[in-house]
Amino acid sequence: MRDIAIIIENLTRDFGPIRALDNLSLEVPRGTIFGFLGPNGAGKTTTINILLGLLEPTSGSVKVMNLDTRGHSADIRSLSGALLEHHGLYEQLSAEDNLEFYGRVWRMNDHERRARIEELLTNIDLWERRKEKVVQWSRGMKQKLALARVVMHRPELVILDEPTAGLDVVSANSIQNDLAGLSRDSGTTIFMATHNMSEAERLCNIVAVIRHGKLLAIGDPKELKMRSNRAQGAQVEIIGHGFSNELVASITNKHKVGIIEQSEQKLVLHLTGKVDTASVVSMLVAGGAQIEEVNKEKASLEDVFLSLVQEAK
Amino acid sequence: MRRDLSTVIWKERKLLFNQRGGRKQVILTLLVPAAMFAILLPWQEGDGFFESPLAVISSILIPMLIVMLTIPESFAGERERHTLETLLASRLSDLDIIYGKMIPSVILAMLVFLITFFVAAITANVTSWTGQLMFYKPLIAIASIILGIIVATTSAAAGVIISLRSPTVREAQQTLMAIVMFPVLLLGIAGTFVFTIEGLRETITGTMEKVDPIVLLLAVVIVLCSVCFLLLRLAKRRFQRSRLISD
Repeated sequence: MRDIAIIIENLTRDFGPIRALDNLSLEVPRGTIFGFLGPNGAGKTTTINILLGLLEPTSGSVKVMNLDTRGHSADIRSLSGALLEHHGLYEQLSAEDNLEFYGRVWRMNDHERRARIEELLTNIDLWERRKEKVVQWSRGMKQKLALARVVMHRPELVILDEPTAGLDVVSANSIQNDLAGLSRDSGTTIFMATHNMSEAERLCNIVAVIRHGKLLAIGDPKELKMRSNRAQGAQVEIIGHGFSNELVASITNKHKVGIIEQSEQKLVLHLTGKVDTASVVSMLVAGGAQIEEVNKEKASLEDVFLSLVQEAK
Repeated sequence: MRRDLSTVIWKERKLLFNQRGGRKQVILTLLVPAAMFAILLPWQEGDGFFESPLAVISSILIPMLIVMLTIPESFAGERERHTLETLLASRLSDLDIIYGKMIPSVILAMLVFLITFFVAAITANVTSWTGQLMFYKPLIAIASIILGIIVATTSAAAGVIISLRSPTVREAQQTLMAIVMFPVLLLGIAGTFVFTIEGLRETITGTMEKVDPIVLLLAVVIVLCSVCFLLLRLAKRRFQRSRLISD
């Protein structure tokens, strides 16, 4: 229990006739980066609002840091930092004033606040520009500042809603590095809603996929990919010589192997069931073929996500 | 509570003078009523200015105008700039946010009123110098200040209620203007009409002269304080994070 940061049990949330969350249950271990994946309108933002106690569940329960969101929402907000759909910065104020305000909100004393502002702005290379009004800044810089604001008071839990949405590759990469560093250095639990699969694959220890408010899958991204490979099969590209029709036919007759492409120099096979690449390659070599290169195409998290979403339709 | 309140006030004060065009807009809007009540009217009235009800009228109109200009920014402005969700996701309590947004508007309104009040006294003395320094009667001075504070607070509470539900600052300003100015205009029109009827005017003037001005002031203060209290309760009730997030 102590090692679980968030426990969601049978959570349902209705907005009039629309069911945004449908009996959702999941757990987020402490110290992990948890990716909450789903297409637009899946219920990601609603879940975040419930975690922060900004919305009440219609039924079910949510515990954040062992505190029930019903009745302890203010305490939960005290323990966490949130970067929501918009960066939430006061653009007519300077970067320093933005951090100063939230430092005061989190009741940091003057000395601690000033030191933390300098530390955070120096870390994101914006200390020299601290007096500038944020309105003049690029989207990437604003997002970095917003992330600095989120971690200003060193929260135990950070909740992020699409933190890199709309950012260019360089800015997104920089934010992702900051998040990885935050988790690694301080052990902060990060709950991150995103539909950026490569980001989730790169950063998250655990991902959950939801659609129409229902949980479709949860687990380690590698495990989910392996599960998908086993279910969907894998595609293998073999380059070499001597892929005669007789040899290929002998393999496909014996095992569950589909031919996608076949020529004298190239063979593309679809392996399903328990057939592994090594045994197919051995059979080809034993049959007289010469192998130069074998490329196995594995499912990416995006493939897993798409297949889960397609299945749920 | 006090520390959080002062934090919100700190931010609101910074924003008030840092909004795009905010400082210019505030100064320009202040100039017209301030010039009218601090220079034009005392100049016209001369030494009779200190006997007239102009100071009391300015204590109602000036705070009301200033609050109507600043308070719509409170929630509609945060919503328009997409900063409201982040503020609501912080540890600040509902009351700290509501009062923290009202207090700077009320303070600014009172500051402008007091400056106008004293500049008007200087103008009346300079333009109609009688060889002796003139000032408001104590009752008028006290009534003006008390009414100014209550009117500013009541307008701010009404403004918060409207701003909580308005999608834009402009819409909040228009709605507030219509709601707050309507009774004032109605009273003005009714007063003008009543005073054109010979018999009625004398009856009202006679009745007013018989009423103790302190009792009259107390009655007005009690009515306004009750309205203010009700509006503050309503503002607190309408401040629901779940509704503000869903809107």
